[in-house]
Amino acid sequence: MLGKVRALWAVVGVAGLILFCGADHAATRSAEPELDSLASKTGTALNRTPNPDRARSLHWAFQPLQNPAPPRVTNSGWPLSGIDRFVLSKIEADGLRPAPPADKRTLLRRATFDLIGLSPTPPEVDSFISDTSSDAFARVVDRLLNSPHYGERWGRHWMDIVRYADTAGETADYPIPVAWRYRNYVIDSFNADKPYNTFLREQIAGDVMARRGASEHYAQDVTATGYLALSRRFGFDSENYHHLTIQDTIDTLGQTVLGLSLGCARCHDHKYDPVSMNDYYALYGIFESTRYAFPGSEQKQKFRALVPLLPPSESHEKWRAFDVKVGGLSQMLEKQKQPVPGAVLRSLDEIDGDFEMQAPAAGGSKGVLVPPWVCDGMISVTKEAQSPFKNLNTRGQVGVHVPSNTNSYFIGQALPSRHARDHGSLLFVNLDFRVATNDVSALGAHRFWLGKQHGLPAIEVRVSSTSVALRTGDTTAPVLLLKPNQWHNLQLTLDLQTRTFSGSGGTAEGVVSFANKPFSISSPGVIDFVAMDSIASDQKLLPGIEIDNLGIQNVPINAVSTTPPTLASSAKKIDAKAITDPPQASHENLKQDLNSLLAEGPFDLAYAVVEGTPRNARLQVRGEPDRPGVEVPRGFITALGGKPLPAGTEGSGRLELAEWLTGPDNPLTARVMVNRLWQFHFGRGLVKTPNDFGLRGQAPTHPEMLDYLAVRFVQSGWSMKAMHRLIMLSSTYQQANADGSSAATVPPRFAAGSAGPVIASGPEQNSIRQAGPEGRGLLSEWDRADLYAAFPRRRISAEEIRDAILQVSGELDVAPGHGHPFPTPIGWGYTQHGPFSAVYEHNKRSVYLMTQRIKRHPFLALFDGADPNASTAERRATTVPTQALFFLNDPFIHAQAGKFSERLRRLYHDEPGRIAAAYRLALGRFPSESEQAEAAEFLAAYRAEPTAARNGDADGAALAAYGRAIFGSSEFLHID
Amino acid sequence: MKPSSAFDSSRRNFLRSMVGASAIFPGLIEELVAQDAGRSNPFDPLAPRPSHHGAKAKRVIFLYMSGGVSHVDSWDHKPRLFTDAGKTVAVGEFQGRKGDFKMWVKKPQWTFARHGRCGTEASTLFPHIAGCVDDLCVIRSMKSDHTNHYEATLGIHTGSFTFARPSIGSWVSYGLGAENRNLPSYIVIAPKTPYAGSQVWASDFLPGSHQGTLVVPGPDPVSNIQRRVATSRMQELELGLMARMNQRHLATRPEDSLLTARIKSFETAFGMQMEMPDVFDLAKESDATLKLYGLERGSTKGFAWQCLVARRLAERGVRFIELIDVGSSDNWDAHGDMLTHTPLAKNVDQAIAGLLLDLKSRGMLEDTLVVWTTEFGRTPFNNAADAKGREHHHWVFSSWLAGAGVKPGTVYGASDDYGIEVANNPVHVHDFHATILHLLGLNHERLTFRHSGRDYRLTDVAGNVVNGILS
Repeated sequence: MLGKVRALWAVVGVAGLILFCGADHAATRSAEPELDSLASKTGTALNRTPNPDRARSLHWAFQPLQNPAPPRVTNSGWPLSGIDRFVLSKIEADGLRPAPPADKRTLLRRATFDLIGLSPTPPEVDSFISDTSSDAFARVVDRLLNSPHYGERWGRHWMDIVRYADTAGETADYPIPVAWRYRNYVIDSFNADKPYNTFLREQIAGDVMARRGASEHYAQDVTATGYLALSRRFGFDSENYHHLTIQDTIDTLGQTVLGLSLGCARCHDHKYDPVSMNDYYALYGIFESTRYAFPGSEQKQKFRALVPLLPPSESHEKWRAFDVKVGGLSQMLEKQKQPVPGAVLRSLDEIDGDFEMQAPAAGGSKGVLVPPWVCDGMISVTKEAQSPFKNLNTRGQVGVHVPSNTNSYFIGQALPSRHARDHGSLLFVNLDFRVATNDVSALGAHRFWLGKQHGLPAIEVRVSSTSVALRTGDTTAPVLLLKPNQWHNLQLTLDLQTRTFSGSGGTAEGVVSFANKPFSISSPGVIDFVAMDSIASDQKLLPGIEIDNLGIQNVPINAVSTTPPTLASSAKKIDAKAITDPPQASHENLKQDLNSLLAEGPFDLAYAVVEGTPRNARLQVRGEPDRPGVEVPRGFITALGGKPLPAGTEGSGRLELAEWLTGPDNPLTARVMVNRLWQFHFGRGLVKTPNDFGLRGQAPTHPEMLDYLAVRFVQSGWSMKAMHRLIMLSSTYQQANADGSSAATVPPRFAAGSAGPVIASGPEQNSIRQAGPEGRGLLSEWDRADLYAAFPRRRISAEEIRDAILQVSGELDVAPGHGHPFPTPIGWGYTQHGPFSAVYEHNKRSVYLMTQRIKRHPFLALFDGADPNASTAERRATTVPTQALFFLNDPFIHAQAGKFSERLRRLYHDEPGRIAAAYRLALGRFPSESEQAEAAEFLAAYRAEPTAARNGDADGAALAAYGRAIFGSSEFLHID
Repeated sequence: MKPSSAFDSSRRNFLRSMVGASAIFPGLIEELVAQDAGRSNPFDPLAPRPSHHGAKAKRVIFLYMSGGVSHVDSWDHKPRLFTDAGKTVAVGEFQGRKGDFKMWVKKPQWTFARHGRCGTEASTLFPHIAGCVDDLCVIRSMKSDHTNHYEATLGIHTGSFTFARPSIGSWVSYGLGAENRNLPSYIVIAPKTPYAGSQVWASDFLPGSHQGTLVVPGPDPVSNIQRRVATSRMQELELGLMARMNQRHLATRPEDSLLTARIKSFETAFGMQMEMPDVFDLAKESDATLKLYGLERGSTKGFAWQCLVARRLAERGVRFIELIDVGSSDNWDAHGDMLTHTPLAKNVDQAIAGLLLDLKSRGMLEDTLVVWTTEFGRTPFNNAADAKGREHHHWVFSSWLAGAGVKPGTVYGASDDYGIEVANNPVHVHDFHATILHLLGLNHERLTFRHSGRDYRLTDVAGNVVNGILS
């Protein structure tokens, strides 16, 4: 009872949401000086309203890519590559010199963590140190790039940017059991060195590419669109907030690919960047025409609209077999008077016509049709509108209701597949309906039609309160008289070859058939849309109507019946054991069978997107969806040369968007990505606002080099591995730190010809700039490091810390991760009162840890892991005492130090051997004599403690304590 | 020095020799910090920072009641609800739906009386706190933006009703830094997780050191605070070794402030490990004090323990202390029956009154701001004449402030005759936040953080300091 009353509070106001955009206004004041300075530099008075053309002509990031030649430098022996000449030229201009090359141990440790996120092993160190050939380091880079761990490290960078999480983020934080498929897709893509433009195209439009491309790519292409599906969900009934989910998509897309914050333009033209509300809603329409997998929410506790990883041709029969199996089990449960779970999984390749995926009216939530349905008028989804017929869908619980006395409404949906004569000849249609006859003044007729979305109907059926009629040309001929207030069934069989159709209408008691009716003469014979609307009503009032069980498919439909079909021919192929079990099978067993069936699904599914009903969005005044403004044609950002989608574009426009983003006219995509690649190697980008290349972002420190890299990136076929080689095989990358601590005493030959004496260029900070209140910060030191006259030290990331500890302790499980042990979905009932919350431990790489949106993973949160709610362009490395407490007292550290101690004792029987092994494994070097002595003293002192041998193993306890000290040491946790 | 001498003799000698210049004892730390002399260390996000203007409050104790406390049953006396009970009122919106609704006025379950010298009215729901009204400024015109728990809870904590943003405690920590470096600057004591989870005390885009440290009443209140090795001597050996390793590492990297900060963080952690258990050790509290809070000796249960620990944290200079009474279920969300408020009130009433009296008797109420709030109130009406519960009501509700800089014994703002809407002097959540920051010496419009190309504030683009509340 309590829950029911709570559910009444579903409807949410929009007032709170406006506030988000308000944050832009807060920024207004502080940004003005920048605008002013831009204006004064150019001698142009900048209008507060962005002028796309002007902004484009002014702002560096929007200019076409240049291909500048690397500059001349004085110290011509230092550069190994063009990069080095760009870097050195600036260093020399400041009267400085680069740092000497790093020693080989430092370089190997740096490169290994950098590319695979793990420590180099002692054999790897030995092999590199002893390899004196000039391409020794190049071969290390190749080895690391070929490691399967490369994708686990660099895929994680991408997951940061696209705010990957394993939960949805709405008020109850529903788990997404198949989100991992996208995670592994990302990892696999990096490992395969998938060209970045292809990588982007797959993530934005993989489902469209899958249907057009080779079937062996089908599953991965569909999985890639998890990028879009992972958009954050909001609220108690997240479909009411779908406009915010789309905003999250657009915002993340803008930041990820273009380095632009587009989300601001939801409520008003962007204050600084040349992005207008029109641009926003042009993109919005593309994503509104897209159907997102639904993760479940407090109001609708089941996930649905997951996307098959099989093409429709292969999935169709499996869906049918699945449905029959589920239907049979459900029926047996019903016979035992047991509750039956509602439809959870449904094929997306048939029209979503039993309306079970829609949001039924419940509590305070009005039942709404959600995409891919397009509707207008007072439409609601109700339980009362459930048809009694079960010949098509056996498990329905709701239908669609159109109230009496309306004369203006529309319900329509693009068909998942386009049907024409070349796609097979027969199309079968089913519709259940009940017309209200309580109002004699409702004289109009509803129109039910199939045809082309923006063309004329091919088939047109008119339903009044008394009859069903077929409209052909100018004539309307009745085919069926209706019984008052009763459910009726209409079935049509369309022959696309002959452009004729036959059909039947009636009830379970009997039907009337008709045959050989022609398509409309003007119809091109293409069927890609179905709708019910009021257009035929001639301004007359319409009787109320309820509709349900709309089916449009290529296989025949059973005759109308109130009982589910018995084992159909297709079901014979499947294992029907559960169905043929005697009815006395316990309902507990039946439930268990049904639950596991529903949890597993008919085959692999992905949390992804598919095409919805293509349509343009209407601008939302102040970002409020219930204040629609003008219709905005779908298209791309005007200031970047984007145009509306060409006329006749089929589908949402995502494929076209992906092509535009990766096309030759767009300079941002390559610039933004090479900047990220640079940033993940050096800890800072050439543009230090990696998600903001707009007017509020910072200008590049090396603009020519940025373009030089971007041009090479495109020329290499968008190969990220080529960029790693380019960057890492430079003298710039191979420098020692500014304080000289890691400088090689004898420069290795592969960095031969290096510069002379060490320069003391003063303090270099590798850390993030710590802005104080009101943005105070230490700009000077920060900016100095921009010269790259030394390699910046960094603390390793949360994932690297955990993985390196597991690696050193010998406990790391290097096999890739898959799904998480989430509870079975059938039992989900998460609410804001009891949200989903779990931590799943394992010894695999940290990239495989389950990450939640509402509740952060405790370890990742402690060590500055990515924000799972928003694009994380850079990790900050904070230093807080709770991290130190972790190293002192956390059970994980103690367990791993224990394993480390066991490992050392297995490896060596003498103490110096163990100490040396500890240094070699954890730090990649031998201990010095004094370090050996220090260790011996420590171990002796620890062993001497009366309580050390509590478990009778003082040796082990001492060595474990020693291991903990190493894990907590700065040397272990930092890369020079 | 010969290494052999490093591990013998007394603890003091050990530490001195082992660490050389010790990382555990403050001396070295001062030395390390002195290296940054002349400039504030930008790598220490918790370094004390000057406020924008003179502050009345040095710290905040934020008492948050989870689920939505009925204003018309507690702090907002509406005689018409008693006289007109069973009659109907028309409202233009119910449960978030617009329309013309006829609702039945519902009689409060508790009676009201004037209290104290000031005569502020309060109900019998909170009899002990009612005895403290001369120290309270009751706000009867609070307004929130959302009717749902999750959003309203997020809103009262972060100023943002939909998107995750830094908590008010994180903003205060960011603005003022820490007073006591052995304790976190922002501590949340909560037996259960509230709506919206840890986002409620998250620092979000602010540096991680500003996030709330969670204390869960019970045997292990803070994770990793309990020494896992058998003796402190063993831990000192371990810490000493680590300090020596880190010192040596630092010696060749002398200019790296981050490495220095790391060494210092172990010092603080060591301090926390000593000081945190001391905070929770109530052995030295007198029987009279325990009685004041209504706490049984040895018990860690209930709001009484939370309140007493809050006083001890306040004494030790923790900047922002939040107490959450219950979690996201079995809370004040009295849809079914208003009488479920009774045990929840009993849990907090004497404890809060005890806290106020205790702070006052120690002179701490002068520089401590005590805030009592909830995410929204409850409907003065319902959609059935015999409904026993009340629904969510964010149009108006009640909160109160006490202590530093607050006008004591007063009431600010009012709701209409039935407690349905604000009648005068509205205090939106943003105004509430602006006022709390103001009392701490922070200007809510100047306390900003640049993130994703924008300057963010706790109060978004709104919020006015409510001067009528200030003493």
